[in-house]
Amino acid sequence: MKNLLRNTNMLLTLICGVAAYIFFAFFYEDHLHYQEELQLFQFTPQYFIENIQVPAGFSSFLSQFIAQFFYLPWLGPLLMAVLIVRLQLMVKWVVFRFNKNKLLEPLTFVPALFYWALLCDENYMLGGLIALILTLQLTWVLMKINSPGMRVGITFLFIPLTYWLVGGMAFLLPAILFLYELSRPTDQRVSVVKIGAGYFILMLICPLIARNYLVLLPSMQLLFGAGYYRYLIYLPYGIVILWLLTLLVAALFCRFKEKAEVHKNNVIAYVALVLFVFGGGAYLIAHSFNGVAEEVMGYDYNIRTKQWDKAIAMADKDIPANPLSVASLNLALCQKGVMGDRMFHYMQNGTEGLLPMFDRDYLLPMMVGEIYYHLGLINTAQRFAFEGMEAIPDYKKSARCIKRLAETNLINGTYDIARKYLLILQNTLFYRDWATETLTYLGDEAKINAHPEWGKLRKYRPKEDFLFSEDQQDVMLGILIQQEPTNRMAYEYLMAYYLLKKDLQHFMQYLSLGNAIQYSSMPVSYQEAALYVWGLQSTDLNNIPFPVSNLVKQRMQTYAGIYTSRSDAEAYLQKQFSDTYWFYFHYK
Amino acid sequence: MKSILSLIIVLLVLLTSCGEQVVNPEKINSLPPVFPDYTGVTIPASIAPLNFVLTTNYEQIDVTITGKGGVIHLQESRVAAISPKEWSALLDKSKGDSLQVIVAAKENGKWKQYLPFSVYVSSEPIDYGLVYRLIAPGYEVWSKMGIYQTDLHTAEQSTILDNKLMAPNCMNCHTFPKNNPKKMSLHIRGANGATALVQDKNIEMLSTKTEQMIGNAQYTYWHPSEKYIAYSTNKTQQGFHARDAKRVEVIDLESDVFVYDVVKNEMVSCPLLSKKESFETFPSFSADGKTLYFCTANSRPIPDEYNQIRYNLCSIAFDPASRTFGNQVDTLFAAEAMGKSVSFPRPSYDGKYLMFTLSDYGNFSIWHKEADLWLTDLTTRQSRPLTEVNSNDVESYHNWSSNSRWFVFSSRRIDGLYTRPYIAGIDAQGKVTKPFLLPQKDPDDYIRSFYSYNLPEFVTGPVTVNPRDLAAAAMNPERKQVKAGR
Repeated sequence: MKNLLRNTNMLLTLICGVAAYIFFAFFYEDHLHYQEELQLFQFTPQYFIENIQVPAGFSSFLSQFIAQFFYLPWLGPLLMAVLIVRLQLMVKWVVFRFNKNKLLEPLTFVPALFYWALLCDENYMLGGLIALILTLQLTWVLMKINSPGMRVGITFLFIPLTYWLVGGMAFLLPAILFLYELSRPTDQRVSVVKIGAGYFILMLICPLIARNYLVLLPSMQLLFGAGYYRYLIYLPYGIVILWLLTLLVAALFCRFKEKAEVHKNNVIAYVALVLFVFGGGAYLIAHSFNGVAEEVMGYDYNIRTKQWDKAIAMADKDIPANPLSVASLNLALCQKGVMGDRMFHYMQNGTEGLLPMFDRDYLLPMMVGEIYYHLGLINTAQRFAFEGMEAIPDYKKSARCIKRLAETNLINGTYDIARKYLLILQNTLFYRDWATETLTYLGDEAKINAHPEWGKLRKYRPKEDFLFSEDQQDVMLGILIQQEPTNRMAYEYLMAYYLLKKDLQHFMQYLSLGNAIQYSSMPVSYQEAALYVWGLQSTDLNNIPFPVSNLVKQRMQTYAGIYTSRSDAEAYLQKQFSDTYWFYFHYK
Repeated sequence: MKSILSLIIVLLVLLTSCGEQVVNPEKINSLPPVFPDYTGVTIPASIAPLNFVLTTNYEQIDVTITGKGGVIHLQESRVAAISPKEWSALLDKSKGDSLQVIVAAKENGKWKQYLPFSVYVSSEPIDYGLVYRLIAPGYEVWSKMGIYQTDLHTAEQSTILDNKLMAPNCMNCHTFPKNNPKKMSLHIRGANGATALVQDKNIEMLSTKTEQMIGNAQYTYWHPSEKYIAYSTNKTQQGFHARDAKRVEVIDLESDVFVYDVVKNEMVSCPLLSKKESFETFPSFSADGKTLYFCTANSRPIPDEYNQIRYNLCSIAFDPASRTFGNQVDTLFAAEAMGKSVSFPRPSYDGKYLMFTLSDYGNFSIWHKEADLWLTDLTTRQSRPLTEVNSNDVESYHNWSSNSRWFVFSSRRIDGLYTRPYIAGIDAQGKVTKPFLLPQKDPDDYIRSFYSYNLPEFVTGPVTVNPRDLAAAAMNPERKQVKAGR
């Protein structure tokens, strides 16, 4: 029976790992990309020293080291699975130092499952997980010391060391070791009360000493640590709960010793415990799952890696939930050359889903900056990348943003700044090669102009300066087109702007600006809008001065017939015409 | 005889020092490409070691520095890091003289030796340190920032205030009366915004806006008596260039100048300093405290004519005893007539000169690549560009050492974006020396850093206010309301 229990517990560990992998590979992969893009891990001694100068700097450094590998879509989920399993195993090895009660072993999954749920909130970072694993590792090492005097003495030394390495998570080390001392047989027990008090006082002193003599950091960060939670001034309640849960598990192992025989009732209790732990964990994770955030991050990842088809496929699968997603979709449609044909096949959010307004957030400017970049408003793209990076709450720098800043400075010909950023990116693992290659472009005008993207964007850049005005997006788009008539994206965004605003007068006025783009046929939504405007003045669809296809004409006639004759026209038209501009114009 | 002796010393040092011998190097007929550019600079004797790197790729660097009574030799893999003790001793003996620096670099296994360059050691002392803000050169969003000080002798930096300890807030306009570190005015913006007035150990948080003012106090300058502080109050708007290298415009919609009476806690002004039809800003007091300098421009429709706003440098009399102003404004420098604009007028503490920044228009010159430093001789009233220090990029905020023999200024000459502090000397005749970049233990820190050095100010000693006390005062909602004076 004990063997069966052992094997079952091992199986549970395996299942947990596989489930974590599946979760992060197929349901939450974009959260991992998000974590990676909001840091800049550098392989330099200075970066290491900068990190370890503060409490929890070491665990934060390790977590950033690991998070950089989230750059690879296949590796991130694997690492997450390994870390979650590692945490469970560390809890197990620590509590097994109390007693190897296999009936209680499912409880060792509680901290891991709880942290998994915490990580569903993108503001909980890997640093806390690494800190916990390291703390338990050190705790386990100390618990292996047989001599009580030596164990206690070394623990006193380890408390401040652990605090500096992992931050507030170190609180668990003396707490668990105190429980451990309590659990020792009487002939080996030392003065537990005094030891516990000593541990407690020393643990309290550590952040106080750090605060008053060693570092200038807010108290919250000294109580917890770098890399736990992205917002440094807020109390990360999840970490407090995690502490309590881990201690509770240890206390239960301390209290309930392994039985010599396993009876049928024990097995029932075991099964119930498995169901409770895993059922509760699944519930918590499901409840913490943030599908909206994952969607936005998915769009973000796809547009910044220029995987336009994937972005469109996301919209084909699920209606985009918010303006940022819609704006990303529109960018993807435009880059694929199908915006004019298909944008109204998808939900639209008005102009906020085309060019969202700037906000002092971090993700929004990064995403919206992509749109300005491809439009050719390079200074604006540069500003959004810079502002997005500065808005990151934990003051980290972003490799994604640095890369964009290098590009925009290269396009603008400010090579010294581009060089600075490229030299910094050369210190990273996954951006190094790109940076090295890009350095060869600096100062080489012909090479830059021949680059398929940078050369094109140089052409699209405004030729004359003006002050950016978010209230006059159409004016800015118009300037771009006038200064470079082949800027297809600017033209399509201008047309989309008027269509989304239902400003058909300006739409018709500027429709001809697209003549230089030489479409093989007028985009469908433009045909629909132009035909609609023509239809308001005339019923003769044969002499339309625009190239409208017969299909569009037929559809409009059908649409018009239903629209004008049925009281339930909207519901009726929804089925067949929700992909038309007419439906958007009348009902959205 | 002396040169033979020096040569013998050099040879002995070379022969006995650790590291590879530089034997038969290829002679390069140019100065070494050092970063920072310390070739031909003039430095004070108490300055920290001028550590440098080369901008080429190399495996080793060999440096020999010869001065009066001493030689320093070093060989390193990257940073020519000079021993502070040896450096200090060498400079001490070389005051009024020069150092000769010979640099060799090993590239692809072979040594190359460049032409030697000189570094001149001034006998004029310099102040203890520099205080500055470190901030990313951004637009509207602010992130981590703080006010820091560097000991010029050791290049050690310490924190005066870091916004991580607070809301987080923005902070700026840290100023001291004639570089006295015991007193400081510092603005804190955002949540818990106020002006921190530090006098010895006492910290007061002032709410500076009175009913006469359009907003809180901004640009700051202490009166030499330390009893008054001149403040501007500005309503600003930002604009962002779609194409221009300037990136950002900061435009005043309104601005006025006031003088704060530190003793009576009152803010006073006069109609000539707060006209509706013009902008008044950047106040500073003369060395004797009887003149208030400021910049003024006619107001224009914004944003349409933002690039037509040009500030002249003007002055008005000030009576510290009665805290009253003259009834006439004098124009010291008619920049508008030249199609230019003045900002940051800063008189020297000995009363001889006034330095200002000149740009094509506007007042936020840090974003104007054409911005340069100019110097006015207050005796002759003649002004000239400081060609000795100006570059192809921004030269902007500046201030004087307490003995008026050195000045520090902000420049973006390295890469066009990240502002760095440079120090240059000026003698009694107004002769200006080649500026040098604030030394760092590792000059590559300037490449790695994401922060600009903003508003560098000399201080004659360390600023000792406790950062936590300052942060706590800022976080405490209690404020001392400044009263409107008459």
